[in-house]
Amino acid sequence: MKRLLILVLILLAGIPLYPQDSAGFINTLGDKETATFGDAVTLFSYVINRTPRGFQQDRAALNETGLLRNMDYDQNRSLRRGILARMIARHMHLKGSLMYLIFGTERYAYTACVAGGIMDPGGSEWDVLSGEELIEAITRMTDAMEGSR
Amino acid sequence: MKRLMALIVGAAAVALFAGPISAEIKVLSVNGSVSYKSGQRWEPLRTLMRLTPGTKVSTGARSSAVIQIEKHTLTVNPMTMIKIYESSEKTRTSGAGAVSSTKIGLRRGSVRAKIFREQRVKTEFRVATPVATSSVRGTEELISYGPSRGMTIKVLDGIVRGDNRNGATRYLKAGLTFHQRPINSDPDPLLAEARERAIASVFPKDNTTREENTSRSFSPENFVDNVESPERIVDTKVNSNVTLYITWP
Repeated sequence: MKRLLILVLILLAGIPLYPQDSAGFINTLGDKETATFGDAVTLFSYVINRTPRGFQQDRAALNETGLLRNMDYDQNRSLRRGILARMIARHMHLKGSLMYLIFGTERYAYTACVAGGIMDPGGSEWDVLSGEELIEAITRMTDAMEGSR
Repeated sequence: MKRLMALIVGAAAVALFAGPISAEIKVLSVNGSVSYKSGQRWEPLRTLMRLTPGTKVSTGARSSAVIQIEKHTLTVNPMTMIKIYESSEKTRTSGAGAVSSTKIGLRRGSVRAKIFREQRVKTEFRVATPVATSSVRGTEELISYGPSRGMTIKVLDGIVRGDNRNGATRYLKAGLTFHQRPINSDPDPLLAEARERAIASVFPKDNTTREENTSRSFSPENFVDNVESPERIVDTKVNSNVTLYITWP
């Protein structure tokens, strides 16, 4: 029995709680035609240097920073440009749009992201994003925050 | 006869060695989560690892890698995926130097390339994205690609050639930016960034210097945004001599 228990423990130790590291997660995300709210939460966790520990915990952690205030979306909900824009605008403390500062809605968050050069004009806050588009927006956000390399 | 045979063997040997030789690809440093794929599986990338053409490299968030390809240095920035298609050195049959050829595919993210140039070696360093390709001969550049924004090449040093898929070519010097959007058939104007930052001011020619100075200081409406059409600012159309000042960034 002891041997069996040891064997099971060894096997469990070999399986990481979250099998993908940051590069692995991004590789998988890049192949997705439709990104989800859960993907955005996981990617934001990596960006703020926090190891993801599952959707509920990650959401709670991001909620504490104010990033997900009033954004009680399901993990598998398709990611719309407006949802991501609101997360980015909050993370970057964007102030480029007066309407966003007043209303704080997804529509004006997108306007603020366009003004900040994070997103391109010509889209809509209702556009559903692919995995590559999510990665691109987050890359532009981190580049803008770190300054040009 | 023996001499002839020796000559033929010698020529064959030269022809053999004149063929392309795969150049060395070495990982100089790895920071954070970086993986590579040369077969079916992604594996963690480690410092001092040797890679072969056909290898893909992918970086995670807050992660990067520096790869030496021959004497060129390629920095793979965070959340980037590249594929090293080709890296070879070939001696010219004429005997006049060699040809060094490197081709990188950039699927997403950005890379910074520092290209080493030797005399007598024709250096070709190309970075291809789905919308355009950059070709470099001895320079430093920052290249990025994303599905929404397209390809951007920022030239840091030297000269770069940017070609889009429709055959439009632009030559860029240091300080210029090539930008090919996925939805456009032509690249953006090379001076687009500078133009957006430039300020043009227009003054009637009979203004005195003092008036001009006062006008510049206190009447911002005289500063005409160069991207705005004059018809939108001036109501009445009359012929007039003017002095045009352009503040170029």
